[in-house]
Amino acid sequence: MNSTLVWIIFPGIVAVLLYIIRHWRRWMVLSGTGVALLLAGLAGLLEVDQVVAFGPWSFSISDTFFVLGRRFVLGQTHQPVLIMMYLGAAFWFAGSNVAGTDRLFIPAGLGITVLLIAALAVEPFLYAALLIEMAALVSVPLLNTPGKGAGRGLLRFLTYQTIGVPFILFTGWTLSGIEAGSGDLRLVLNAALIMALGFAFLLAIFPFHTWMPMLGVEAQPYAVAFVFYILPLTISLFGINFLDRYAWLNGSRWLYAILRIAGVLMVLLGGFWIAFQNHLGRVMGYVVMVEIGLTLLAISLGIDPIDREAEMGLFFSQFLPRGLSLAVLGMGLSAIDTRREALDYTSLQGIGHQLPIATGALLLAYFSLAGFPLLAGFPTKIALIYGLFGQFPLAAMAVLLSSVGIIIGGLRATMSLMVGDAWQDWQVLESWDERILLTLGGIALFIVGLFPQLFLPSLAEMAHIFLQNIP
Amino acid sequence: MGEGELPQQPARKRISSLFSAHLFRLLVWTIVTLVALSLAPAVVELIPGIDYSESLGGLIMLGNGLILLGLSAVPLWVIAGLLTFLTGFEVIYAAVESSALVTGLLAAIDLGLALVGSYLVLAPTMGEVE
Repeated sequence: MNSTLVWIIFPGIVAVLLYIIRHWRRWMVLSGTGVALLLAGLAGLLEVDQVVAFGPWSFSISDTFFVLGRRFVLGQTHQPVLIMMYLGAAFWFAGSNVAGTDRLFIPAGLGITVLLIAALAVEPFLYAALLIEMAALVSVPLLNTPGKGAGRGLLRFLTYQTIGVPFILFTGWTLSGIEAGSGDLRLVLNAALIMALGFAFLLAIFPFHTWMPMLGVEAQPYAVAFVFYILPLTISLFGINFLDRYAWLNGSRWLYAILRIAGVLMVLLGGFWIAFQNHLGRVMGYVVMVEIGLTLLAISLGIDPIDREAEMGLFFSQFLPRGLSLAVLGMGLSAIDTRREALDYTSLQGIGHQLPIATGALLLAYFSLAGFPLLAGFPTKIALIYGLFGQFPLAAMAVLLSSVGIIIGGLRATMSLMVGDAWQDWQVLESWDERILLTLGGIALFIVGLFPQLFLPSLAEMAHIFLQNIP
Repeated sequence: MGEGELPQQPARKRISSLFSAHLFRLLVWTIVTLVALSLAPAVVELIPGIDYSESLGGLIMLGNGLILLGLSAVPLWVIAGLLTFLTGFEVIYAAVESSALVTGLLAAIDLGLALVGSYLVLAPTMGEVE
C-alpha cells in the first residue's frame, strides 16, 4: 500500500468515474462528498510509514511512489494538508447541487484537488508548476458557461497560468546552478527575478491580477469561488516550500521586503477598487486579490527564524475562515445569479426583499472577509494586523486602510441590495435547500468568529508539521 | 458583429485596412525576430549544452507565441499562441532537463491545452454539458 495510491491515484480514478455518472446528479454529489470525506478521515486516522493493524490483518503505507525516475512523497507531514484539502473539497461539493453548478463541478473539482495534492507531493518539488498548470486546465470547464463563448477573464487566467510555468521551471534550473556553488551574483539575481515573475503570474500578483475580477463577472459564482480558494492556497504552500528549501533565499531580507511590498500593493489597490465597484462578481474578485495580499503579508512576517513557526501558523490559520467565507459568498451569489440576469447593482436593487437569506448570508460572508468583528475572518485579520504593527507599522496601516475600502464597498452593496425603487413586500423565494445551507453557513461564520480557539490552534499547528517536511 | 469580422465598408477601404493589419503583423514579427536574433547568443552563453540553432528557434517560437497572445482575444488564436509559446520554451528547456517525467508532463499540458482549445471553440454551440 502506498500513500500516493490512496490520496492521489484512487481519487483520480473516482473523478473519472464521477464524470461517467454525471447525469445522476444526486448520486454524484453524494459519492463525491463521501469520497472526499473518506479521504480526509483516512488522512486523520492512518499513519503513513507505520504498521496499521486492522483486525487480523496488518499493513503499512509507504510514503514514496516512484514514477519515471522521480518521486511522489506524501508523508506524515503532509497529512494535515490532506485533511484540510479533502475536507474543504467535501464542503464545497456538498453545496454544489444547491448552488446550481454545472454537472462537471464535482468531477473537475476532485480532479483539481488531486492534481494540486500531487503538486505538493512531487519531488523535485519544482515540477509542481506543471501539475498546477494541469489543474488550471481542468478548471476551464468550471469557469466557462456552456452556451457562451470564452470570456476574456478566462483566457487571461489560462494565459497567465501557462506563462508562469516556464519561469518556475527555469528558476529550478538556475537555483541548482547556485546550489552547485557557482555563487555568481548575476545568477542569484537572475534566479530571484525569474522566480518573482513566475509567482506573480501563478498567484495573480499585481499587475497580473486582472483576470480575477473579470472571471468574477463571467463565470458561475460558486465555481469561481472554489477556484479562488483552492488555487491560491496550493500555490502559496508551494511558495513556502520554495522559501524553505533554499537557505540563501530564506535568509534574504530583500525577498521578505519584496513580499511585503507586493502584499501591501495588493491589499491597498484591492481595497481601493472594491469601494468603487458596481458588480458583485467583480467585488468577489477584488476581495480575493486582497486575501492574496494578506497571505503575502503573513508569509513576510516569518522573516525572523526564531518566531518563524508561530508567524507561519497565522498563514495556515487564514485558510479556514477564508474557505468558509468564500463558500458562503459563492453560494449566496449563486442563489441570486440564478434568479437575475446580472449581478450588477442596478439589476439587484431591492433583491434583499425577495431573497433575504441569500442576501444576508452573502453580506455576512463579505463582511467576514473584510475582517468585521464577531465573524470568522476577524480573529486572523486582527492577529495579522497586530503582528504587522510589531514589525512593519506601515504595512499594518495599509491593511487597515484597505479594510476601510472594503467596508465602504460592503455598505454600497448593502444599500443596493436592500433599497429598491419602490417599497417591496418581504418574500422568501429561496428553495428550502438554499435556506438550510445558507443559514448553516451564516451560523458557521459566527461560530468560527466567536470561538476561534476551537479551530484555529489546530490549523496553526499545521505550520509546525508542514515545515518539518522541509530539509 | 463578431470579433475578427470587418464592418460593412467599401471594398477599397476594406482592402486598405486588411493591408494595414498585415503590414502591422509583419512589422511586429520582424521586430520579434530581430530581438530573437540578438538574444540567441546570450542564451547560448547562459545555458550550457544548447546550440545556436536551438536557441534561435526556441526564441522565435516564444516571440511568435507572445505575438499571437498579444494580438488576439479569439480562443482559438489564444490557445495557438500558448501552444507556440510553450513549444518555444520546450525547445530551450530540453537542453537543460532530460527527465522523462517532465517531458511527459509537458506533453500532457500540450494535449490538455489543445483539448481546452477545442472545448472553448465549441462551447458557444453547447447547451449544458451533457
